[in-house]
Amino acid sequence: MEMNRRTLLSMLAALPAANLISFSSASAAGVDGGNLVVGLRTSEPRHLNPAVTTVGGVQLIGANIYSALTRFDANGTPIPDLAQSWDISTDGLTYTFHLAPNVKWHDGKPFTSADVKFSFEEVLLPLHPVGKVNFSAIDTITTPDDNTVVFRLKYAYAPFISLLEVRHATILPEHIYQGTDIMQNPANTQPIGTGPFKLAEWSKGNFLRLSRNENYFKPGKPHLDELVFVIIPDTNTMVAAMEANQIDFAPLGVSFDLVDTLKERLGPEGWVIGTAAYLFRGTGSILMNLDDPILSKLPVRQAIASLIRKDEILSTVRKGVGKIADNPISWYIPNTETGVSYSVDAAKANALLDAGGLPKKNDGFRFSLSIVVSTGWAEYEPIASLARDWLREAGINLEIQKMDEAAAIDKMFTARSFQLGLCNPSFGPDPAIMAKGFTSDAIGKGAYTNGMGYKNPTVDALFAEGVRQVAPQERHKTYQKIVRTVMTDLPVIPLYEDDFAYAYRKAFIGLPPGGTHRDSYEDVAKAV
Amino acid sequence: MLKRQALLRLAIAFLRRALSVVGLLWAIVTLSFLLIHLAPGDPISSFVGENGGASPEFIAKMRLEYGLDQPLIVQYGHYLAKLAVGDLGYSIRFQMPVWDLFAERLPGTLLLLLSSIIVFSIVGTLAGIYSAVNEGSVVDTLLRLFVVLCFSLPVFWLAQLLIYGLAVKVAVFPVMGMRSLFVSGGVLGRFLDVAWHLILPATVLGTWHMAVTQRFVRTSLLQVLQEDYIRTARAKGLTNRRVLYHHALRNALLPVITITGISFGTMLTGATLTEIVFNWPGLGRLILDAVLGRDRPLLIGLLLISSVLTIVVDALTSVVQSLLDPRTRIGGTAG
Repeated sequence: MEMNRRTLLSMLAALPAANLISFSSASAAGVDGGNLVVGLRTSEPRHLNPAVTTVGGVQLIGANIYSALTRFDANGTPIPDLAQSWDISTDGLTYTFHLAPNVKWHDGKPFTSADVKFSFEEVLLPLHPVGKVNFSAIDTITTPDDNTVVFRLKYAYAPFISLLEVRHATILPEHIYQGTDIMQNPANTQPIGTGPFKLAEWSKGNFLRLSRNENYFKPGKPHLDELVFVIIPDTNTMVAAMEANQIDFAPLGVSFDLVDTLKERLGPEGWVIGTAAYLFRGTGSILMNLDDPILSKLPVRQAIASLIRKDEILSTVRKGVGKIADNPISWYIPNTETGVSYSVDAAKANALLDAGGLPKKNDGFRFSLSIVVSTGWAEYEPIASLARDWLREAGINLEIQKMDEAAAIDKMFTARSFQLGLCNPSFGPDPAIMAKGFTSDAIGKGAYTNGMGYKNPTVDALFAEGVRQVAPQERHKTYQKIVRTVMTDLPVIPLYEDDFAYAYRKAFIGLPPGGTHRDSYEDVAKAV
Repeated sequence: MLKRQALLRLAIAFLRRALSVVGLLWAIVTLSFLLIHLAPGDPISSFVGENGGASPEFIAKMRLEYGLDQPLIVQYGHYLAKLAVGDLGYSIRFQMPVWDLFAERLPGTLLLLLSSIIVFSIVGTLAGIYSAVNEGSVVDTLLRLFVVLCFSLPVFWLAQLLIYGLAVKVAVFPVMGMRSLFVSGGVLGRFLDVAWHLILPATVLGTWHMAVTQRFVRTSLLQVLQEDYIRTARAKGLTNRRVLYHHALRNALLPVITITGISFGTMLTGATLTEIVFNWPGLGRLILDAVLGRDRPLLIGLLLISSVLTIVVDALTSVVQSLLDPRTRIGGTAG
């Protein structure tokens, strides 16, 4: 297999490569047929039902077997999937979805609106880890006919339309799951979906093989015959597999520090190494515990913010992968609209601390602070080392506390027994999700909630308002206010937008798939 | 009368052994239980954190489901009770019973371990014999240097080297995994495919053991060859070959059994690293996942399984040894 693929690859590399890095339809420049081998750097999924879990591997693979009402394009805009069109009432309370006709489940049975109603009411709301959080706004779901679903909301909920894709709202077959113990149903490992591919073979611990759904409801798709997922938890093995052309695409976990090496080694071998903004928008940040006696003082936090050189973090540590973030939702409220900025100024930092009654002692240090550094992220330790040097300029002694991810999450978000901490919360695709990190009722509620202990009733009220507003300009103004207030109160120092890297062989077009890169591979094809 | 006494002695010896094994296993379970609890973070927050968050209600529901809201001593009691009836519990991280997880993964690890141990015991033994018989020759010296190198190579590094050299640069072997994606040739084809995938990881795993075996066999054989009875045999006019195969080897090879048994423990550790690098579907990576995920049932289950395996191998070694060596026979004069 390896030899054949090598020869084929060198043949293809000699042809002009039609590499379209953005989401695109393959019909113009691709051919039907062929297999794509995807290397996933996740742990092996236990089942393939994305409706009951948020595990990355399940979502990635499940997105090809199942469908949902909508999917995302490369910009994060919802576009049709099972719903070919929809209407939203002007008050934002009624969503009417017109379903695509003649859609069949993999077992041949017809897909109807009843499947949608069942999936939301009996699977997503009770069983999905964030189902209640996402869909508690739903009042009723009615199905006037087989091809129409009407959602009536209790209150206007702007994020709703962004939460209807396969990650958050997988549509399951009612005729398979109705009346059964959903978590134990064998269809979780032998899935019956409406997606472009069906599960053909699952060799546990080795690979999962999906084959094309001949009766997929979108004509002309999918283009590939087979889609194979190989689970490769180790980075070095993944790179070796790429070099040996045993995989064609690595969507996740090509860590940014490998980008330059891979470009050098694999670029000439016909690989495209790219970086992209991850739709769910992680922002590398320094969290500050406001319950700590030292950090509770605003001048201290401002001083720290005036010492961190974000551009250096981006260029030296992140190797240029990502963008500077000056607020927690910089992808929605641009850095320029943040309203307040903290430029690097060691003199100012020293002045703030002197004025704040925290003078330098005989050893040159004013006080010590510790920073929680999870070993699960390659960039954290270098960032902390740099921060230690920078903080020394204002007489702050920074002590680095390394620990594994589970311990770090616990210290920062549950036990809240920390001073400073590095973490990477995601507040996308909708800005309303930022509430989970900044409202007073989210303090100490577990991973990626309000670990800082930030309490501002104005901000709480603004979040409650923003989630109900539907008009885009109004929403934008509300979140602008939130961002300005938060960045003035400064419970957190956002550092960079966590773009990620991926790599694929030029022999394929339509990669990476979709906006989330966890979309289906229905548009992927071999290049001509 | 004597026979009955002997049997009774044997029974008591066996019972004492069994009790100490049970005691050892209990200690392992208890210690692991405590140690995992001492580490900050719990399985739910780890599971949730890894997967981008979940609502507090969901977290609370999971906590209740897995009994994590109860005091530690109660959780410990429940765990022991289940263990007594052979229930190893449910892995939170993998969302399946621990037994099922083992059933899936253990064969892969055993295949790797056993094929590695058997093949490289033989290779090491043959190399050791050659070295001893040709003591001082150029080949012997080269072999001894090679063996020192094998001792010193870290498993991880050797694995990367072999993958890069023999799987990437020159595509002789597969980079990873146990099976190819597309295999033809029916059952035989699949068997050969697995064997081909096995070669590199088994080599990486077996290198250290091969080195140990070679050295022991060489030393042991050299020692035996100095013994009086060998000189007597030679004096009687027996050929070198007959002396070697019929007299010397049988005694010189006894340590191989022992060191194989001892090596097993080290190789079990080596198997973890090897499996990770080669993406070999075995128990290997599970231990890492269990610790990082604070998955208590899985971790304790894994430690138990390794302990049981090691104990079994140890016992087997003793039995085989006593069968082959009359000096160490149970109930014999040497006792």
